[in-house]
Amino acid sequence: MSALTLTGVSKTLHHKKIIEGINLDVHEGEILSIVGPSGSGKSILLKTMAGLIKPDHGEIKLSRDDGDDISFVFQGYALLPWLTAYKNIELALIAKNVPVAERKTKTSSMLKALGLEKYPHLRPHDLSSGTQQRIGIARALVSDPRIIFMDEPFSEVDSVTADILRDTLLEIWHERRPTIVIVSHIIEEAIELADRIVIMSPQPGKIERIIKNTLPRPRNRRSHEFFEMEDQIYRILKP
Amino acid sequence: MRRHKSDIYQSRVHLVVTLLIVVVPFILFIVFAQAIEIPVSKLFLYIGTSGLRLLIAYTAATIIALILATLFYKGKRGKVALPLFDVLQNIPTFTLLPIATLFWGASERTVVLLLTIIMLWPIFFSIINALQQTRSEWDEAVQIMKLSGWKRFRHYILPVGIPGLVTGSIIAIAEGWEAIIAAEIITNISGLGQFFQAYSTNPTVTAAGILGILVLIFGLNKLVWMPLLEKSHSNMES
Repeated sequence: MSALTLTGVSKTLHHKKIIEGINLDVHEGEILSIVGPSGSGKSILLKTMAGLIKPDHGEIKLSRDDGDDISFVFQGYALLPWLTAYKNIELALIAKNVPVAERKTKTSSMLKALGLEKYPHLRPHDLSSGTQQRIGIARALVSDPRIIFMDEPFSEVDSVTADILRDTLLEIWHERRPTIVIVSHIIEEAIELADRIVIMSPQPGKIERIIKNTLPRPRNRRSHEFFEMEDQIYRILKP
Repeated sequence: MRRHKSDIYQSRVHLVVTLLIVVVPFILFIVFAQAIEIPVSKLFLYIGTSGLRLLIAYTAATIIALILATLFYKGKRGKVALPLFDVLQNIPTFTLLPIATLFWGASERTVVLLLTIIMLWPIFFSIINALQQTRSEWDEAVQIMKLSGWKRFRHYILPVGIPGLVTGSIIAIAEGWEAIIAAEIITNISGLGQFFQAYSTNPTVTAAGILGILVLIFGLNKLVWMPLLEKSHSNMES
């Protein structure tokens, strides 16, 4: 079953075609990675899927009629600077009318899951960019949404923390099975996380190929099959 | 957060100075009341009446400004409405005084209405200015969360608008003092305006009165507005 369907989606910004003729079916409960060189419109495509950008042509359809059950991890974190880490995360629950007691439990457990329990009372500008990014991820996960869009969510954290966060994300995914669409510029990350990998080509951004990733989980980054898939993607990206 | 609150009064010296600024004018008023041989209570009544009018008008202006700013700060509505408001704010408000007096007479209501209109514009345009600094990424985050209606106002518009509200309030209150005295003189109702009119022939009392008002305004700035301004700006640091 598909969670989200795009048919013939195009977007022009400042007289420049950013994405063109995108047809894509996002399956319910899958992790879908979008990779591609810069300028291939990955971020714009993601924002269009999330409804933040209106397409010029084409159609985006959510399978269920619960449009508010989505969340987004922004590349620039998009935290509200006047709110503490705790409040930034809690706001996602306030917006969904979650009762106070439940908000407290959910926010606290999310702080813990992302290793943020030391900073609940600090505001974003007192925290490192990696920590801010984790707050952004926590905010997107806390409301238990059905579809999560992530725009390079691990770009600002060091590689060890990124590993831990990917594991956390996979744990949550195994537990709740949300649909996750994740834009990434790291091929290994895409292979480790995704069920399917969308490879985009630039100017204008088009879908070049969609690769099915059936490697068994948990995935071993040093396995032969992993390297093989990596090579396959690189060959498509650099013909 | 607790740290920020205590930062407002950085030192004991600061606190003493601000206290003096509040206490000194009152002592001054008492001294002057005695010097010009009017009862202290009457002088305080003048200040109280004018102060209360100012407060009522300020509250009304703030509420109206917040509502208008929320409605018109962005988008198509704003594009149409903002130039219109720009024209409206340029109308000298005192030209409305005769019309208002025609309806309500030389009354409290007339003065408060006039004051509200005068104070509305600086507050409104300052809030608009602050709200236009919102980053598109904040808008997107709020949009994704589906934060709407009152919650959107309470958790998004208001915090972003507050630095503007504070700046606008400083200007509005300053203009308000000026306007209330003028309006009270023109309509000849009780208050500070009447005080200044009554003693206009006595330069010493008039000078003392002006000095008193200056001290009061300075004290208000130092005690209320400056700490608020500092706090609201530090809140928006990112």
